[in-house]
Amino acid sequence: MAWRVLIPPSLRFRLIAALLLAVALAVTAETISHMAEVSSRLERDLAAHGDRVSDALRTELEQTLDTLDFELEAATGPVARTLLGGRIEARFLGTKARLQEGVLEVLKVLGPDGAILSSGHWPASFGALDPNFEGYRPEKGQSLHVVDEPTPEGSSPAIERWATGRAGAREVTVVAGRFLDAPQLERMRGRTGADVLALCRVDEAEAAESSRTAAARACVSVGAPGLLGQPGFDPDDPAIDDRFHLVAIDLGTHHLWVGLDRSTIVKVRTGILQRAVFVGLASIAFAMLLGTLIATRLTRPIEQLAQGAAKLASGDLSARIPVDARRGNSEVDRLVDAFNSMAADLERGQGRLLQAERVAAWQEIARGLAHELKNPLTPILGAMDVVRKARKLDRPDFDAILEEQATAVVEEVMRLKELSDAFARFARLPEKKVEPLRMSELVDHAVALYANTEGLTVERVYEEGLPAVDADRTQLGIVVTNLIKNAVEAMDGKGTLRLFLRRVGDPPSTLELAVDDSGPGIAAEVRERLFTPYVTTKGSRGTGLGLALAHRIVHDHEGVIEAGDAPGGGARFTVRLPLAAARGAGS
Amino acid sequence: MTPTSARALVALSCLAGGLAAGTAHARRLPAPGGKLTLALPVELVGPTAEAHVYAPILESVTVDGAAERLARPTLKGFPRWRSSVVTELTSQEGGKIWKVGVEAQPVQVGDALARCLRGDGTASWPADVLRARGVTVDVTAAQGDVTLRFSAPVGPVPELLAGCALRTPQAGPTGSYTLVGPGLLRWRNGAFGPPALLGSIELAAPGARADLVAGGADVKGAGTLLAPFPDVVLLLQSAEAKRADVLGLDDAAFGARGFRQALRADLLAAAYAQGRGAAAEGLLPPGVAPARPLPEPQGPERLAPLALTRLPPDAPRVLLLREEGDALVDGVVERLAVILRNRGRLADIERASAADDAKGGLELLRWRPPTRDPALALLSLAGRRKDLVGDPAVQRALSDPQLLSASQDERVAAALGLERAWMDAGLAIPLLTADRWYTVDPDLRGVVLREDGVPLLFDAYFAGGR
Amino acid sequence: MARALALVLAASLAGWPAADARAADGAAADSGSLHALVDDLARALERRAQQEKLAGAVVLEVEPARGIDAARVERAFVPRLKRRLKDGGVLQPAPEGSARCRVTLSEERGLIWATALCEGGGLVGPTAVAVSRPVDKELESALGATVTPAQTRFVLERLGTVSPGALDLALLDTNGDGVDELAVLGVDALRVYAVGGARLERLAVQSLPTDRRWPRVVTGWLAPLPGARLWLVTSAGHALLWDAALSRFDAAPSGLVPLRGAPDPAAGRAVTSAGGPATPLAARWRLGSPVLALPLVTIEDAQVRTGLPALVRDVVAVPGRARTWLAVDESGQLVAQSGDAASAPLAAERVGDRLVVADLNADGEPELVTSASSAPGEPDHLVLRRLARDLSSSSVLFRSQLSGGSIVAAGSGRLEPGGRPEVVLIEEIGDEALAWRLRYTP
Repeated sequence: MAWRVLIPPSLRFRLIAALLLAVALAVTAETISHMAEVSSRLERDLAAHGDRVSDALRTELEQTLDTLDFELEAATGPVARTLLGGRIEARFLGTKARLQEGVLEVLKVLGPDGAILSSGHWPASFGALDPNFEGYRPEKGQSLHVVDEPTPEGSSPAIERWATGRAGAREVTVVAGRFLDAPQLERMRGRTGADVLALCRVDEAEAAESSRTAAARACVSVGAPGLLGQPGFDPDDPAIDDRFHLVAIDLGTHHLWVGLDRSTIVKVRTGILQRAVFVGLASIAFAMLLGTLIATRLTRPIEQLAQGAAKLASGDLSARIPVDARRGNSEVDRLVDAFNSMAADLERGQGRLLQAERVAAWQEIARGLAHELKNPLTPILGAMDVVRKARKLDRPDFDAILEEQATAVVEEVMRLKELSDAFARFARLPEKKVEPLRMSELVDHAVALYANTEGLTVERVYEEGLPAVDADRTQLGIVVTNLIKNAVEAMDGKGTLRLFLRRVGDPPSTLELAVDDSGPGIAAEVRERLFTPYVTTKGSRGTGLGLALAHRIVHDHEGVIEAGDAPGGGARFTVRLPLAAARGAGS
Repeated sequence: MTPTSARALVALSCLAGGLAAGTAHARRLPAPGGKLTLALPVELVGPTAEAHVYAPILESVTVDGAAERLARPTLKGFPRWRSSVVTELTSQEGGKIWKVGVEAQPVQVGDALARCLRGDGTASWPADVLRARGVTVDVTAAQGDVTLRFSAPVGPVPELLAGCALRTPQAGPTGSYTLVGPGLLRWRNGAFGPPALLGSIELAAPGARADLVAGGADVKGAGTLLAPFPDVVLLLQSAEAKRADVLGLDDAAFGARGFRQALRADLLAAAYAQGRGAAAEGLLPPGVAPARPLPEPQGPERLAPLALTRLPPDAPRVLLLREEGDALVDGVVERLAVILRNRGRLADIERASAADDAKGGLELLRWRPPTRDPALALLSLAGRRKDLVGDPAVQRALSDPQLLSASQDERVAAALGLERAWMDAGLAIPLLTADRWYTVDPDLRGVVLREDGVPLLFDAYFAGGR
Repeated sequence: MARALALVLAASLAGWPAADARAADGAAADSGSLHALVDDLARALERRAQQEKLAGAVVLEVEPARGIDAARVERAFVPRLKRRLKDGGVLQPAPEGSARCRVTLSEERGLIWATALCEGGGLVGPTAVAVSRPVDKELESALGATVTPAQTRFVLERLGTVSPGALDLALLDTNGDGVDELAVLGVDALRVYAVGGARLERLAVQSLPTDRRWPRVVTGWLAPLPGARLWLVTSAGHALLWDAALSRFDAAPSGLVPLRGAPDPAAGRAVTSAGGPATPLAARWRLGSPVLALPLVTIEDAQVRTGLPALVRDVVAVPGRARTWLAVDESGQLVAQSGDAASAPLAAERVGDRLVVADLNADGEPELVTSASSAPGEPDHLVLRRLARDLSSSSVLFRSQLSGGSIVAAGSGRLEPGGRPEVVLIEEIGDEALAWRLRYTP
């Protein structure tokens, strides 16, 4: 998992991370819930405000309608009379004059065919057919009706009421109204407290044909300063929907959209978020600080424990965890104490073990020695028996038998001597004389003996620039020779001998010599006891002391010798020695 | 009392009165008095003040009686013109050189004529006329006369000089009045020509109570002074508007006839000009040009009623320009908006700018010919508006040398040709004529209206009691 | 025979204004102004056609406009124009053709205009031609609608010419011969003529002092005073008394304008309102004013109350009636006022600046002579009216346009010893001033 990469596998970091995570989660959860609650409360308030504002607007419109009804009733009679009057200018300008007196902004009289007989706001439109004539039907007179009233500059939405009357023999329709243009909308907006008011024409055919910008322009919109930019109000625009809480009032052919600014909600949300981020960061920092302190205090003994255990594992049985006198009796403290006592026990035990091992080793050696001693002794005894018997019998080939048996005895004695030499050599390892050694030279020297052996391929893979090793030349020479000899004997003198010299370790402070043979390899049951004395695979010829000696020498040089499998199937013996600079650094 | 003694008494009293009068006879010259208030439209205030402060170079003979002609002689050779400044007017080289004999101050007169004919400083319609024909003038003043050297022969010089006043920036007032305050004129001594009778004249704002009111409703007892010819409301069409045929004049189903029927000039005049107006037949109003054959408009016999269609906001728009403040022009503009709406266009109504340019739309102009001579009137319009000379047929008609011929018949013929060229090119469409009249206080006498509508008060007075 | 001839002569003299109206239809005017008009128009058309390279067949249409009678145009103008064009050879009037010339005839401000617009037939664009001629009787009768005067026994005769520039006239007997002489106040001088036969003989001239400058409105009043004296006032400020015997001017009261009353059949001279001695009446005026401000005053400056409008152009007392006045108010409306009643209009049409009241036909009822132009630009009419007894209305007895000029002065007096009162008028036409007399012949 990736987090394993990110967080170093250290208890301290994990503790800190856990603490941070806990804090972050807590802060986030709190923020989200707080925000949601506040948001929903504000939305509810906004919706309630929106309902109040739209009710206020409806009331305003109703009042306007009442005014229009009153004015219409007052105007119908005089207007009809004016139409019957003689002078033409009274007919056409009479309605305009009447407009200027009162609160009406639209006052027009239509004939039975829809032609404008007189129009107050556009006197020059006499004789033209009014496009809204179809809408002026008796039954519709009572509803809230907003029409697009044509004006010289285009058209403007107007709220209108109408009534039919008679002017002489003709039936005429008198229409009275007020414009719902931008200034009027602004007044309504100011009185009712809306943030945005937009009057939009609803006409499916037009909306389908015209482009979006045209639809936006078909709305007359006013807003508090700075709220609305170009191109104005379009109820379908998602951006508008985000910014404003919209309520629509149906006015027949138009919709009056009331928009309340959501920006307070947004501001509050943003505020909460900002505070949450600030608090979160602060608490994360604080948690990091606190966590670092606590974690350090908690984890230091554990780390010390870990280090101590590592040291123990690597063989340093003197590793102890320092105990702080001020500490209490927590689990960790008990753990530390337990570790210390365990380490002490281990040390003692190791000592006994070593002792026991040594005893066992000597017992092994002794057994082996005894065994080995016995072997030549038996033939010697037998030989003597034979000789005696032959003398006793006075056998004619007594000289031959004597010679034969004497040879055998000598052989066995020589073997005993060899064994004694080897044993003496093993027991008495002289003081090493340390000098900087180039292992490559040593190895080459040792291999040179077998260089011309038929059927044997020697491969050398030496790393470049290998530094010197401080070691006793003779002793290491014995080691290398032994290893090579073993490898060759394991291959029966035929095969491939590979020799590797390289630096290993991180940092590279160890020289590794690997000797691979292409022999049969090492059997599993032998491997464990390979470096104990008298273990030999070479049958009767091996002394069984070579590898043990090598082990002793390498160990004496603070190195390690291992046996394993070579990649090619044979055996691999690996010797690791500390490099000159790395020695003494301690483990 | 016996008849004889009565007679003697009468004779004696007459003698006594006569003696008394006789001794004071020489001293009792006419003295000015009285104050007159004028309410004029804004554009006439300046020209009216100037007309009274600066003496006119030439005046046309309005009352053609032998008595008047004897009392105030006309210029030799020009029986329709008299002057208090100019004594003689002769032309040489077929009208290229004119010698203007002056009574006094030839340098001042020459300076005033140069400014007037070249148009330096204030707007001057004679300069517009000369500019429209590309004629330049060189004015030199010598002892006793001023010489005008034109670059081309100019016939109607008296008519042109009638549009000039004796006005130079360095000299002061030369007429019967001097300007003593904003809109206040006071009688001064030493005017060119017969002294005026009124003591002071106040120029008030339009609509104020005054003795002489421009326009004004019919008030019982008040007199009405009617200008000799009406204004013409013209529609100037830019090339772009004509190409797009926004008015439908080239449309077979609508045409010029349909446009005239839709305009309802009679109703517009009744509503906004108190009935003193009618549909205009030609660019020149009656009184400036005689009756003449005019183009026969095409179009339907009876026009269907116009429809105020509902148009989307992105419908094609037409720019309508006009000067603000005139109720009749505003009414015409509103009616044009109806006609344009019927043809599927919305109107943008804006104020006309000082640069005489219809800006790709239509412009309404209430034009008053500055003179009764039709050729000079049309030339003054051409000189004032660059956008009327774009058409090649119009340019051809404008370059007709008969426009400045000495013969009135030739000038009239050339003016009719130019008018026809303008109307055929569709650059200028006459809509309606509107009379210019003044409502006059019943006591006020002697007001004469100049051709451009300025009331001249040199011989005005209050009869009885004021 | 001679009697018949005299009758014919008298009839022809009597019917002379009517004869004017019957002229011109056919034969008379092959020379004269109609011919000149046709010729001018044709020449202008041909010149233009040559300039614009138009030739051959043209369709000719003639339309009458303001002040022109359509029937007369068809009868008199069109055939002459067509004949003249054919004779000219450049343009050929034809019923069909590619070129079209439309001619419009109208009368404006004393000129007959013929404007023509030709188009088609290879012309680049429409081209216009205009000719004008001053209106004279011939043109007017050939083309215009004229008013046929009603013929009764009133006779209008020319007396002769007088010096132009007449402002007012008065008839008075300056030399005691029982016949009135004609005194004419002119712009420059006061002249006295003797009326005899068909000629006027100038008897006296007295130049006006030249220390006054004439305003735009040049007008004057002349009133006879008892004792062969005249009181004259002009708008230039002259206020003078003239004595025929002394042949000199004396100063008159300034600020007053003398009025002329109808001659009293008994007294034969000016009349007063209150039946006192004949004193001239005067009205006040301001300098340069042709309109008079009432109330009237006597020469002694005593006010005479009338019920007339405050401002009038002329006012006369109706002879034979007490406190009865006729006046022309400043808008040209004729009003009458009697006693304490309000003034009432007497005629619908406008009348001119002068009123003369006299009983021309000796029926005991005064007739009223006014000079009027019925519309601006129209020539003046002499209108003789009979007044209703109660002065509620008047009817026209006689109307004439004289020669078509302006009537500048009118007055009444007796031009024949023991005869009936007559009215003398001065008409100015062009630069001439003609004197006419109007009288009744039973």
